[in-house]
Amino acid sequence: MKSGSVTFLNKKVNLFFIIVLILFSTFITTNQICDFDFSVNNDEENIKNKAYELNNNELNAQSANPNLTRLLYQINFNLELNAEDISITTHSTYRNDANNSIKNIIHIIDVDTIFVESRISTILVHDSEGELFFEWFALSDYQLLNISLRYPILSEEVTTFTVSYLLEDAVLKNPEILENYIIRWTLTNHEISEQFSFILALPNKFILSNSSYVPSLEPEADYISIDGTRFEWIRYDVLSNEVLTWTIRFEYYMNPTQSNTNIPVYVWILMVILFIIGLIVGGLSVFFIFRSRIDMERSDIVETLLSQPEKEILKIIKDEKGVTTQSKICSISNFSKAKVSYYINELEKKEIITRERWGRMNRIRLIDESFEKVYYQSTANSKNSH
Amino acid sequence: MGKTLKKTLSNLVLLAILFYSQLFSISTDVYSQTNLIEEEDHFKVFSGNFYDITIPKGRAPEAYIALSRISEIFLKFNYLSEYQSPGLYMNSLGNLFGKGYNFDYLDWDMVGISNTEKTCVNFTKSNLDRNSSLDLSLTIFNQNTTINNYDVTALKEIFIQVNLTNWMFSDLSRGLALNIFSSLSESEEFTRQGPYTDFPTSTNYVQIYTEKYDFIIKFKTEILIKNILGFYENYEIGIFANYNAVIEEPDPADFWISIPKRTDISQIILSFLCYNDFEETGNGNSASFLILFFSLSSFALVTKVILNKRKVRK
Repeated sequence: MKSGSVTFLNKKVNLFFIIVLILFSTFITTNQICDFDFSVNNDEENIKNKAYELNNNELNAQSANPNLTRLLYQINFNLELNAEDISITTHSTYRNDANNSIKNIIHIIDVDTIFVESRISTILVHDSEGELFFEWFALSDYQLLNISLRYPILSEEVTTFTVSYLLEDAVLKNPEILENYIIRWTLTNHEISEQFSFILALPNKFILSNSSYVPSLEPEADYISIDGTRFEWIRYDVLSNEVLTWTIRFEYYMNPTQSNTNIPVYVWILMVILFIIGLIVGGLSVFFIFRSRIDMERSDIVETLLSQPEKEILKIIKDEKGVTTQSKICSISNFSKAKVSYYINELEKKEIITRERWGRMNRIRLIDESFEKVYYQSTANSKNSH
Repeated sequence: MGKTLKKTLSNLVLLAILFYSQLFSISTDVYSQTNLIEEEDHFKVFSGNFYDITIPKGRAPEAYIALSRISEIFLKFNYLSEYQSPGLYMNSLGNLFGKGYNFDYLDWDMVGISNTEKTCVNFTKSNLDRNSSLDLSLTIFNQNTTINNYDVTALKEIFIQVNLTNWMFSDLSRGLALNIFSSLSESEEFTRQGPYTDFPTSTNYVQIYTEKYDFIIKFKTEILIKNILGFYENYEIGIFANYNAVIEEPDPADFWISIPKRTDISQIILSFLCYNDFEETGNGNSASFLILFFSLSSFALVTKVILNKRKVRK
């Protein structure tokens, strides 16, 4: 009987413990459900608490959207013309993996710039039909948005929405190189993304830096547009808490519109060569024209300074290769000895020839060679004129 | 002879009346009312012969207020941001923290209205955080009007009102600040004075002046707020300029109005009065003198011509 009562008591105690355990486990589960059912609950206090929890304890933000799978996360960076601000648009596509419908999605913006103190502002949310209601919690480390979807997403359904914002003062202007800019930023993913892509577009007046010391894009882009101003990186299965970093170096380009219509480099080289050739040909032409003019002037002077017998004597000397004798001149020219002697004296005075004794004869030598040509041209002209 | 003299005198009197009526109409320098023209890319507001105001579309709330053919004031509402500061009011650009909106990047809905009472251009942006919305209106009244504790002179004063509805302050913020920028046309030299507070009238002033103009942006040290119970209250604001406001400098006015945080606010109403305070007495006198001179000269000339004609007839 006793043993039976003890057994019964033991059974009672066991049953009690089992009930306590069941109750306790139910309580914990309920608490967890309450905690994780955040996306369904729209109560502001809960969201605030969650936001602080996320902020202070650095919890995995995946817990914010526990029943959702982010299929696609695309970030578009459009650099503004002021080369300071970046207009950012993100497209997110989620699938509801839960059995119940979901009305709210938590979106965390955790973008950090390195080198510069940037600031996120002007957050707007919209879907394909228009702007969406959202609550913005500006926390010290990041921005948390509680987005109310236009229609609840049912189980296995997919929804897409866009968050746009401004990253102000996000660009470092490299002080060492004029008109050289750097964007260096990190993105902390707070939930798993099956596909992630980052697209960066430079405005019209900017191009990537072409420095040979440092790469312009880090990491290298998976896709670069033909005009070299749009870059795309694609990653698959990005993990929660995975940190991605990019560096983009670019510079101001003076006349981007002219670059397409500009003359190619080889044409420039050809034009320079042609210019130099033209310069040489022109220079030579001018030189020859002046020279011929001077020759003509000289011939005119000779024409006036030399008499006909003097010209004939000079021709004879030239025919004798610049050196001859006075007697030979007499015989060739048929001039009398006295006449030849007279004109030789005249030419000697004019320092065109020299006369020296050579045995019993006089040797005549032409000393001013410039007279040779002048003389012949002159005689040729005179002949032509005759 | 007597008849001719009578005719001449009557003609002269007629001409005199004609000239004086013209002179009178010229010297009356107030047009009856404002006008509004909407173009593809801007609104144009004509306010008598005081201002021609161009308000571009598709941009932040900004206005180009022409004071003459070459001089125009540029006035822009630039930015709205929460701040964190050691005191009640914002005192440094580094205080900016939390939620903020750069007006250049918002898609504003713009509407221009002109009726017998007023001409105004409204900017609206809704669907901000928690359905908060921002409305800004630039109005010129055709009759002297009292609105939000401001006495607005018809045609001469531009009344600007900024309404911020349902703004929920971030927990970590200390208040909300609105940035305003103003300067004269880039090519012209001007001096900026203020913002400074005139204590007897509890009014803040920002002045942009040259030898010819003195454009003033005036706003009270207390704004209107509507609490969640629907009652309106006065609420004291702070001013912060990112420069030494005591020194008058040839730089634009770029200042912030800060509104300390209060959790029971449903609407914040900021009002501004803008006008050119330059007294054109000298110019006015010389202008009226010129008009008088030319009128009298023409009068004399016409009289002489008529008399000559009569002489010829005789």
